[in-house]
Order: sequence, then C-alpha cells, then structure tokens
Amino acid sequence: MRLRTWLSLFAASGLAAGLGGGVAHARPAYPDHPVHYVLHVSPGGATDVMARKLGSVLQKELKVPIVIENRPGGRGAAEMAIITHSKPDGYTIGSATSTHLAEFHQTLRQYNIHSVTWVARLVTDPYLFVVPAKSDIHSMKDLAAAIKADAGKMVVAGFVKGSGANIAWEMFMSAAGLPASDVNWVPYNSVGGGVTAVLGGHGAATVAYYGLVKDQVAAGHLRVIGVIAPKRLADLPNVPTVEEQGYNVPTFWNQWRGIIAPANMPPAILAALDADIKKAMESPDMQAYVKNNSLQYDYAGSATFDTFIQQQDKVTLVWLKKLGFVK
Amino acid sequence: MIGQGFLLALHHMESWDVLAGLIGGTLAGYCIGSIPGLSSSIGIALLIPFTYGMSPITSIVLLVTLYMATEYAGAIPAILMNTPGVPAAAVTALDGYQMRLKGEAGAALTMSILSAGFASITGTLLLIASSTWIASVALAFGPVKYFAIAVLGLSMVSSLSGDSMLKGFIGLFFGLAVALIGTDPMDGVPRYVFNDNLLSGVGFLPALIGLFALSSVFALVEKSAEMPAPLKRLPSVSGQVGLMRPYIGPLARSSVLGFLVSVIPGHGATISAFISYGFQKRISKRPETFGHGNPEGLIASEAAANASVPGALAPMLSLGIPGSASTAVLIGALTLHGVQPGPLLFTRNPEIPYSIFIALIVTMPLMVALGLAGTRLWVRVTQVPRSMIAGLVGAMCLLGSYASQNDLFAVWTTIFFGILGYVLQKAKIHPAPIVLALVLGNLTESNFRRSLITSRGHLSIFVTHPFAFACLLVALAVFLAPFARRAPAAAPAPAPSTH
Repeated sequence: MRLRTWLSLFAASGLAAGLGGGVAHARPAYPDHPVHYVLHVSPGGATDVMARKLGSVLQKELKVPIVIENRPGGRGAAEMAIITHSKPDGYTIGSATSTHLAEFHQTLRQYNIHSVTWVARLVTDPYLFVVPAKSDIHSMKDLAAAIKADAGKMVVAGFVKGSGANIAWEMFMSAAGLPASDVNWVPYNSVGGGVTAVLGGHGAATVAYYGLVKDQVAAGHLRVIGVIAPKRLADLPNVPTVEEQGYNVPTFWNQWRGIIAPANMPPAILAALDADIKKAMESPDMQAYVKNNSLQYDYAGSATFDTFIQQQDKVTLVWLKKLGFVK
Repeated sequence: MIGQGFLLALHHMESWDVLAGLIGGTLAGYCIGSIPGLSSSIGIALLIPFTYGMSPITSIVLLVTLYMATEYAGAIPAILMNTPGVPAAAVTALDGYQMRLKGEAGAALTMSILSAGFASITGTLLLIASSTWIASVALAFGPVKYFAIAVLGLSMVSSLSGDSMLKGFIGLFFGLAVALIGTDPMDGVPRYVFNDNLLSGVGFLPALIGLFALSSVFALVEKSAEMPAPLKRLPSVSGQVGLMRPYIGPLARSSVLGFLVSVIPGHGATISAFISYGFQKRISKRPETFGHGNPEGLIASEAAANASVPGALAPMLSLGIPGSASTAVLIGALTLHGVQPGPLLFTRNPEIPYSIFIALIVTMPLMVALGLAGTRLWVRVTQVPRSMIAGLVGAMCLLGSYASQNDLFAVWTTIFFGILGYVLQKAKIHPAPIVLALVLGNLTESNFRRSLITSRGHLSIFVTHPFAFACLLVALAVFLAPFARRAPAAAPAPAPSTH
C-alpha cells in the first residue's frame, strides 16, 4: 500500500512536470491522484481487455494514472464489496454488465440498483438468434413453426438459465405463444459454449452476440435469423429484427457494459467522470476497438444510464419470476 | 499450400522484435511457470498489456512461447519441492518428487525437460499436419461424449491411489464434494455458499497450492533438523540423451495421447497429464513403482502436458474455439490486435497460424538448452537447508495464491487446504485423487445434466451413443480392475511363502 502511494506520488509529480512545470495552470481538484478501476472478471476475457483498453485511453483524459484491479471473486461479490465500501469521491470506479442486475435478485441480494451510482453505459451487444447454416430454419416464423412441429424435442444450446440470453429466448417463446417447455434449453457455461455446441450439431439453435458468430456466418457455418434491437444492425443489414418479423419483444433488451461507482456521488464529480469517459470512448482508438470487436457503440451518460437501468431491472425481475428463479 | 504459408510467415518474422519476443517469452515463461499460482493463462493475461505497442506477429510469438515455456517450467518446483508451478505439474510431482527424495533430482529434471522438448515438437508436427481438420472432429464431442470422457478421467483414480483403493476413493469423493460448492453451473443457484467469496466455487489454484505445496512445507518443517542428502553426480551432457533411451515408448505414446486429449475443447494440460499418467501406469510392466519415483510416470505426465500446448491450439486456430483456459486468453489477445481466430483465419491472416507453428518449433531447442543448463543450477536447491526452503516455499505459496485471484480469501483457502493436505498425508491419503476430482467434477456434472436435459431424463442416452458407451464400459473396467486383480492375487500369495 505504501509503495503504491509512493509510486502514485511519483507518477503525479511527473505529470505535473509534463504540464509545463506546474505553472499557473488552474487544475480542477478532481482528479489529483490515481483512479482505481475495479473489474468483476479475471484478466484476459472480453470485458477485461476492453476495460484495460479504455483505462489506457481514459488516463489521458483524466490526466492521472488508472489502476486496473481484477477482483473476480464470488461472481461479482468481491467487486461489489469494494465499490460499496469506497467513498464516492471518483477515485474508485467499477465495471458492470447486465449480469449484475440478475445477480442482485439471485445471489447478491444484499445489493440492489440503488447500492451504486450508474456512471455510464459504454457499449451494447444485441441478442441474435442463430441456427446452423444447413438448417431449414430461415426466419423467426420458421423457428416458431419448427418448435411447434417438434414440440418438446428441439434442443436449444445456450448460456445458463436466467441469463440475459436465456431471457431473450423466453421473450420470443412467449411472444410466439409457445409454452417454454416446448424446447429443451441446454445450458452451457458461456454464450460461446452454446455457439460451439450448435456448430457441432448438439443444438438446433442458440442465442448469441455478433462478435461470437461473425466469422462462422461469413464461413457459411451459421445463419442469423433475427436480432433483438430497435432497428437492424449495420453489420447485418439483411437480418430483420425479431419485432419486424411480428414478435413483440422488448427491443431494449440487450447485453451492455458500463461503469459504476459508489452510491451518492457528488454531481460535480459525476459530471466530470461522465464527460471524460465519453471523450475517451469517442477517441479514434476506442472507436476502432469497438468496431473491430463488433460491439455497438451506445454511450449513455449517467442520467440516461440510470433510467435505462431502472427499466432493465424491472424487466429482469419480471422474467426471473416467470422462470421461477425469484419468488 | 503449407510451404507457401511458412514462407509468408518467415517473411513476417524476419525482425529483431520477433527474435526478442521468442527469447523474452521463453525467459518470462520459465519465471512465471516456476511460481505456484501463476499458471500459463494468468501469465499470458499479465503480458497482454505489454503487447499493445507490438505488431500482431511479435505479440503472438511472445505469448505462444510464453505459454509453452510456462507449461514446462511448472515441473521444476514440482520435482524439487513438491510444489507444482502449474496445475499439470501436480501429476509430475507424483514421481518426480519421489525421485528427488532418492537423490535423483538431476536425472528427474533432465528427463522432464527432454520429455517436454520431445512432446512439444511431436505435438507441433501433429498440429501442422492436422490443424485444418482435427478441430471438426473435436466439435463432434457433445455432452454425452464429454461426460463419458470425464468419467474415464475419474476412473484414473485407481492409478493414483497408491497402496489403498479405499483411500483413493475417499480422496476422490471428497474432491467431488468440494467441486459442488459454488454456483450451480446450470441454473445459477448457490450451493453450500456460506460466504459470498464461495459463489464462484472453491478456487482451484489456491486449493491445489495448499494440497501439494503448503502441506509439504509443513512436512519439511517437521524434518528441518535433518541434513540435506548429498548431491549425486549429474549425468554428463552425452549421458543426458542416453537417459531417455529406455523410455522412448512411453514418451511417444504420452506425447500423442496428450495432444489428442487436449484437442477436445475444455481438456487442457492437467487432464491430459492425468489421463496419460493413468494410461501409462496401466500398461506398465512395473505399475507398483508408480508414485515411488518411477521415471515412466514423470515422463508420461510431462510429455502429455507439453504436447497439450499445440493440442489446445488446434481448435483455436481452425475454429476460434479455445481448447484450454490459456488459449481463451490468447484469443482475447489476438482480437485486441485486430486478428480474429476462427474459420477464416487461414485465409485472412495465414501469417498468424504459420508464425505460431514456427515459434513453437524454434522455441523448443531454446527451451531445452535453457532447461538442461539450468538443471545444474536448480538442482542445488536440494542442498539448501530444509528450514530455509520451508520458509521460502511457504511465502511463495501464499503470495502465489493471492496473485491467482487478487483476493485474501484465496490465501485462507490455501491455508485451509494446506492443513488438510498435511492431515491427509498423516492418514496416508494422497492429494492427487482430490485434485483429479476438482479438475473433472464440474465437467462431469454439467455434461451429465446436459445429456439428461437433451434426452428428457432418459438414462438410455448413454447406451445409445456407441463411443460414449464404450468409454463408460472402459471406465467401469478400470474402476474394477484393481479389485479383480487383488482377488486372484490373494489366493496364490501364500504359496511362495511356504517354499
């Protein structure tokens, strides 16, 4: 800890020197020392890699070092413990994804959406309905018909039950007037696990993200038949939305990545963070990253993000109850 | 086609940066691999930020050589101190540490690096020959086959139990019970979670470090007054290769087996090493000496673990599917550089797979030279007084455990399993079956349940899949074999004693 303080002092003094020897350049009070960015995932995964990239860009905006800390313990529990026990001074921020909301209702019930400040939403990843390319299913209508024709037999390989992808599937089933028991949802450890299973012929369909299936679609192994989004994706102009195909599902239901901070953050600090994160996300570096990884750039500042979270939280709770995960 | 690919990759690799990446990756791999708690996947993840400014070729060369060197270097502390530097080395420690206790540390280290070198070159050649199609074979593995393979893996307990089958099974079932703790892999419901830190289950690395390394620290403390055994003469350079001559069979078998097992996504170095060790013991002429310092066991484990590096790369290169935790991180690193591993990799970026092949081949002599030269230095660890070793290894265990999860809870887990491991040692229960269960528990359970969801609860699904049924039958036979062997052996046993 002491070493870290010295290092940060050293870094800060170097920065001050870099800013013209600390001349009469009135710097705002925040931030004047390193910001800790706490992640709920292990190093190496998609969320981690993006956070590290963002951290390296954001430290140019904030003009202080960003220290990335991986706290993967307890499926978000370790990260939440740090965030909720830190001061809302802007020096501790954390990563969040839509999974956090489900955890608040299931395993981490000591927290809710008011336990943290919702700083910014960075990107979204819409849910796609994917089938093998050699399948006879070409549209959501075909999918509904195939399920009906083979009631109770179709195997759908996807992420664990109660996950965002699973809820997206159930939303479609309910919109199509099909009972959930008409398919066998076989849960895999990750969204990618479901894609692998469908590639190997162990499932007739899955729900996935564009980045996970892009190359498989281009190589002619998989086909995307629908997307849950307000409008078609720029990358998939020929794939109609699920709503366009006549199924009434909430178009805002997607996987998102955002930034959280301790609750009750002073508005001035929140506004400063929000503005700097937005600038970082708009930098050519981050925009290239988002594009290369087939994510949808969908920035939302703290006010919009907060409203979005309340809406997502309501829907999450409704569906977790419907699926029997929450009483 | 292949020739063109190699020429293209060589053209891209003609730079000092790439050479520096090769050497740097090997050296970093040796350091990371020999520290318990820092496995190859963590090592790769740690180095990713350093590759931001490098070209894609340089960074992939650096990370792949690091991956390979890490998988080997884990054997060094496993042999010298019963402290596996990477999880797979826990299997190496079974016979490697026993050899060291007999004063054969030099021979054990030499054999381990030569096995690793041979296996990685064999695995790489298999990868080059099969990379474009073998992954589609791996894709055919659905839940039913996965379950059958996992049970086959669990049946290896009979090879790991030492003197008592009962004690082996006690370890196995205890391990399976520990593997149940955490969030249910299917429905996300918490099981036996008394503390939020347990939501993601008992950390595998902290538990492994406790069971193997910390428990041997306690055992060392117990004997700290004894003087270290005198160092036996190291084999001369010309004798080093000759050392391997009697073991060409096990070496070749284990290399191929390790490669094949790791091609199946989700089966990394540890499962390869366990299966290869169990298989080698089963067909060995002297199975009773396994676990008491038989070089065959050491070679089986090391060769399989190192052949698993190219094996795990096969599904990654041709389909973009990670074969192991480390390749999952490698995929993250490649996408960061704008390269997407997947079905289009060979057409879009052929220089990437071919420079991986070249890196794997070129690193091998470097790694072996470093290993052979280093053996002379590392073996001196056996001459350090036990009390000092105990202190150093104890500190390394706790540090490594913390580093693996960045969390103090991991340290408590290591201490708990360290004390447990020591108590089990006193009761003559070996930790290996527990580790086997921790590796395979989740895989077995998830795939059993996935199979049953697919079949709507009908167990017949395990009989109607011929491959899976055959695996399950073999597993049953392996489970029962020790009992069957014991029964007839018991009858004629008194006969010779009357002579």
